[in-house]
Amino acid sequence: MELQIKNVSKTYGKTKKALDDFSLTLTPGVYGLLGANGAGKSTLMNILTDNLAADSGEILWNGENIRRLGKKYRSDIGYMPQQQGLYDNFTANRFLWYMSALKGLQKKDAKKQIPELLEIVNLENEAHKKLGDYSGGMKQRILIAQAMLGNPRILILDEPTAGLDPRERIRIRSFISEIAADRIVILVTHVVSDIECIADRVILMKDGRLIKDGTSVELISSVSDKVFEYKCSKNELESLQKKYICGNILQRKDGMVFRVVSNKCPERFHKCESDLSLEEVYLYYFEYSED
Amino acid sequence: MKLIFYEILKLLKNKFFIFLFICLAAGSIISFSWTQLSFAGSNGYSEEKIFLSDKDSYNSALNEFDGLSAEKAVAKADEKKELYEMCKMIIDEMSIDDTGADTQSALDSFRQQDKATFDKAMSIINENTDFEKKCFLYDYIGKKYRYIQTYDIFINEMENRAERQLEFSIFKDNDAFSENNIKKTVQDYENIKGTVPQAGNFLFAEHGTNFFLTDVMVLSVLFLLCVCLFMQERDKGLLLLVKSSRNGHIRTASAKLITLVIFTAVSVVLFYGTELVVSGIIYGFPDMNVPVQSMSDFMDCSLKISVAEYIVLWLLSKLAALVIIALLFAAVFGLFRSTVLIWLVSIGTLVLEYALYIFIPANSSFCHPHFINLFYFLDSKTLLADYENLNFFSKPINILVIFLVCFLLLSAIFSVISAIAFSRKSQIPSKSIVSSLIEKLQRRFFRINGTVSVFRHELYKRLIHDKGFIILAALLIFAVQVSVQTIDVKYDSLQDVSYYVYLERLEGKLTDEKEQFIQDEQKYFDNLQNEFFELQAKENPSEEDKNRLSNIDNILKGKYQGFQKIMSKYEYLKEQKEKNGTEIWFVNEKKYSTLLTDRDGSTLRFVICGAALILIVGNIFSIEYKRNMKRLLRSSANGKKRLFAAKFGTALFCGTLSFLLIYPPVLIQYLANFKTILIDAPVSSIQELSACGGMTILTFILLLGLIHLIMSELIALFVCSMSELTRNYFLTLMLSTVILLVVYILISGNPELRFYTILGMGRITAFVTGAVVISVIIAVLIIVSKRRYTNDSIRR
Repeated sequence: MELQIKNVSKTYGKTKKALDDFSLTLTPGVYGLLGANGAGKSTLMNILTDNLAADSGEILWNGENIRRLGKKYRSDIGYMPQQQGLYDNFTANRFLWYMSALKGLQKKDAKKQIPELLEIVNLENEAHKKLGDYSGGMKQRILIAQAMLGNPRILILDEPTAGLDPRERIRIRSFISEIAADRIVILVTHVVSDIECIADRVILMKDGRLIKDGTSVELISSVSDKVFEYKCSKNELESLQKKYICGNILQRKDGMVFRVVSNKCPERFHKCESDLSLEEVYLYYFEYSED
Repeated sequence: MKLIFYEILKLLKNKFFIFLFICLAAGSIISFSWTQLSFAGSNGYSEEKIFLSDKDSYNSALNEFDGLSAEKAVAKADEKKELYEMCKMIIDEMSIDDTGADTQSALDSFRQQDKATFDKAMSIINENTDFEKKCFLYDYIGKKYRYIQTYDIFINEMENRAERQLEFSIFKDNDAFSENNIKKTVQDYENIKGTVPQAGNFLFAEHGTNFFLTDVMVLSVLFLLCVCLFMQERDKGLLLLVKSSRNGHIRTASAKLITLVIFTAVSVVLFYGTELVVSGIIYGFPDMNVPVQSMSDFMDCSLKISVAEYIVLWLLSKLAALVIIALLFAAVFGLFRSTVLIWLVSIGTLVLEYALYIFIPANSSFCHPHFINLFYFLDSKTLLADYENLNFFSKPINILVIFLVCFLLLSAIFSVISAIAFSRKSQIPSKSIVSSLIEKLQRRFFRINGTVSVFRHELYKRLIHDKGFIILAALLIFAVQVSVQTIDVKYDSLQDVSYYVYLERLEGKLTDEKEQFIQDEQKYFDNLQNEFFELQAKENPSEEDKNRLSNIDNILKGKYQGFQKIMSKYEYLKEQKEKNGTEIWFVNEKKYSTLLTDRDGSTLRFVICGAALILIVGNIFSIEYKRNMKRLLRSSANGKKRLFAAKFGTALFCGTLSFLLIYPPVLIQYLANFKTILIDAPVSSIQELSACGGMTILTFILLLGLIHLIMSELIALFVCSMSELTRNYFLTLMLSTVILLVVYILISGNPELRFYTILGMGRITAFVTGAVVISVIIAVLIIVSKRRYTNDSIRR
């Protein structure tokens, strides 16, 4: 099982390059896609979900071009879009049956899977409630459920935990980890803690290009000598923020900690030894490197 | 001011609005120009035709009368007309029988009638002139000057006429409306005493201010404006944000209303202004300073205004009427959240107003809904040209005053309703008690179950999710109502009754027995006629003779006339037998008219079918865009071609349902009323369908049914394509309505465009060409929408 993205480029209009010779090979596991707004994540997802054609390059699913596979390829993917509107007068049950029909599922398979998925996303008691009456979190969960219909081998999840309370977030994260063993899960989110928890590999995108990929540990260690911190008082914060662009402020028992990401250790700062997270990786690659 | 600026900016930046605005404006101008220019190719003669085909002779004919008094002009026009009539008669006579004594004797009789005119005619007869045209032209000019003559009498005699009327007891009732109205009329016309109408070419104003299709286009623009102004924020979920801001309530609503009024004014200037300019280019601009009464349509006008002032007033009254309608739309958009409800209430109000305007006679005692009516106000030419006083507590109030009051009052009411609804009405949908109850029941009794058929889900979306079942229920009620309705066969005269009594007796295939009956009846009437002549010839008839004579006279005027019609029908059927080899069948055309040749019925069914399908199918694609579902659907295995096909399949299914609820009930109604159908009879037994040859009534009914079914399906496919092309429910509703309305206007104005008329006239080629053109248009629309739907380049 292999999804190969080979030299894919996409330009909007005449100049706006959304993807620039992007290449990546994905095998079963959870992939966290990180990038600033406009980095090309949505374009990549639209191409992967067969919603958009690339200008050049190709995407191979088990060695075959997805454009040629068409319907066959689409029956292998499950997609959960972000900020999704739903049919207000559909019940969750009907919506899942509708998606089963669109995914070309057999009736017996749909009949087996739908209750299971409703239970997984904790909506079994709300199955006959209209989607228009669902809260934001419930809508997210039903969208995850529909993405899982038909046991897709590729799962593309765009901000899956947005709008969920911590309990549901943990529940969904665990679920994603569980199902990732025999499929490719692409997770696009700005909640770096989600990626940190469940992603086997993190892919960093910038200006339509792949700038770094690796495990969370590898990426964090790659910036371990780039993060510096300084214990300060509240009064000092303003002047520090003016001086250093990339800051992360942490509240500790013994006061405030002001963190900067830099190649050189600034005066009065010292190297940060612990508590490093993907946030620092994000800041280093997407904010600092511009300077 | 800033808010208004931003509202205007939003509209101007809305490419779709601008595109549709331009399309509607272009459509209006093209249809206006086409209609005017088509006068040149029309049958017979009209002022427009002569002007457009031979401007020089039209102008020179008019110029001949410059400086003449009305009396002299009338005399001269009559003289000219007689001369050209004589020329025409001579030419006709010569062309009918160009040799022999008959022609000479006819010419002699013409000479005897009027020697001078005859001699003059003979001297110009060889000129290459269309004498019939000249005849019409001078007759027309004569009428113009005759009108000027009578106008003077009409105005100056007003007082005397009033006095004479007041002498009648029905008008002479102290302080009653009739008396007050007569007195007021005299007073009002005092203003224009001494007005002298001028003869001239006023085609510019007559046509430039009288084109209904432009009104339809402008009404569409107003609806479109409301969609853009009031629905944009609602559709994009921005309304809560807007309403949470400091100026987000009354101020925003006011800004929107002012923008609506501004754009209404712009539309009036653009649509009607251009129409006037085009009219001026086609017909030429006349002297605009002459009194408006120079146009004969304005004979009753009591305003002392010139043609130029009339044009300005016409534009202003159009603007006022359209502002009322625009604000009415705005109020409806504010009051209702549901797209369907907004459409139904807006269109329903307009249809109701139009029905009141058309069906309530202007001279009835309950005529107020005819005059205090949006369509009367919109018909600015009639509003300004006619003199009308309405009865308000016995006081006659002029319609122009009423119009002004209505404008101020209705504009204020609708603005307040719209502003309050916008700022106060919750935009968050509330859950109804019924839906909560249904949900509870579902939770209790329904298990997780469903279907994996895309088509069935799409059908559910149309009929249940978007409440299409309500429309189908309404159609079902209509179907039941039609099925049980009694068909009243109306007879116009005694002869008519007699004819149909015979037809009842003879209906069906002609047998020997029936033939014998016809011969017996013929003998009977022959004898009766002989008896009649004998009795008439008697010098001293007895009382008994006189009674008998009167009886026979009655029979000959009634029953015999009916029999004669039967005989001519019999002759016609025999001709058909010889021509087509068909058997002779007597068919009662009045009974069969509801089934075979009902023009009004078929138009009504077209309108109902169109409206139902627009409402049911209109949201079929746009829902996916509104709900932002497209990417999710397209990423699924069946989310591209199959879903597209399922959606069109659903549209076709809805078309079939609508057809079944609209057309077969007419057949059921017929069978319920008359029990049998002469299915084997040739349809050409009905004279109107003579060109159908040997086709039987059954085949014709089936063909009509098939055509109705195809028509329903084409409408469904058309609306479905529009839904994908516009990607917006409101725009689909609006554009589909406008396009089908234009088709309806074309059909209702031209009976030759009906299927059975074309078939009845044997114009199969025209029919096939029309069908092919429509099919190609629909096919192109489907292909374009498929490309758009399955296209890989999605908008960012």
